Amino acid sequence: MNASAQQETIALDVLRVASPDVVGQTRPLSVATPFCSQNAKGDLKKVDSYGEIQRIAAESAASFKTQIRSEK
Amino acid sequence: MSFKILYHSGGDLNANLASIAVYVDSFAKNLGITQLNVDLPAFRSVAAALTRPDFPHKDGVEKASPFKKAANFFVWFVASRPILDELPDTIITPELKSIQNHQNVIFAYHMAVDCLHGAELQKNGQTVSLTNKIKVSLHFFHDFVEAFSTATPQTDFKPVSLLFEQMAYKANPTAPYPEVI
Repeated sequence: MNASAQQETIALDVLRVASPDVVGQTRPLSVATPFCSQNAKGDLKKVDSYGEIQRIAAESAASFKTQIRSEK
Repeated sequence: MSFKILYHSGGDLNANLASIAVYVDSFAKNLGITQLNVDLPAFRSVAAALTRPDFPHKDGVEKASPFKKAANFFVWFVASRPILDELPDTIITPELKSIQNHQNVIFAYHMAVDCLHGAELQKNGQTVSLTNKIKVSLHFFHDFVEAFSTATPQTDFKPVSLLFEQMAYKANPTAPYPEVI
């Protein structure tokens, strides 16, 4: 797996960083942000762990959504 | 999941930060949210709190129980408020929606509980795994969100740690020490 493929694995597509200077202006939080790009440097083990995090978060969100809907 | 993804060895702040961001992103996406405004410095505050040398346990973070690790993450996340957008009322109930800062409690609760699922603790020299995930009723969850929506590390770390401990033991009845008092 090359570096770009690893970064693709952890691309974030929902989070938007709000600018404190310009009200309402946001930008995508992605692998371009310092913490993710540093973290993706050739570390296969860490990159692999993101897949597990994504899967578990997805399961929890789906369960939460289902249960909350049953209450609405 | 594992606390290794939140408390990376060597206090790797960037790794902690990436784990939190990936979890929040995936959780939000699977709730049906397409955009979520976040406060990046607040995210950094949460990640930094996980590497603080003054972790509130006498032997430091490495030897702290999973309940203390979960509570430390939870109270810092709620207090730092990294998620700016409230959750839409198409997803949550009006009762949850009416609670200020509900979004940060909801995300932090789920990530903490997912980290406790499968976490290990030492009991009489043996390793015990919390194999069952914590589950609570909707009524309890609402009260939990309301109770800790203004949580701070200074005042709520210990109560949250005790609560996570009892919730985990309820889900894993063979895990606790004998209840004798």
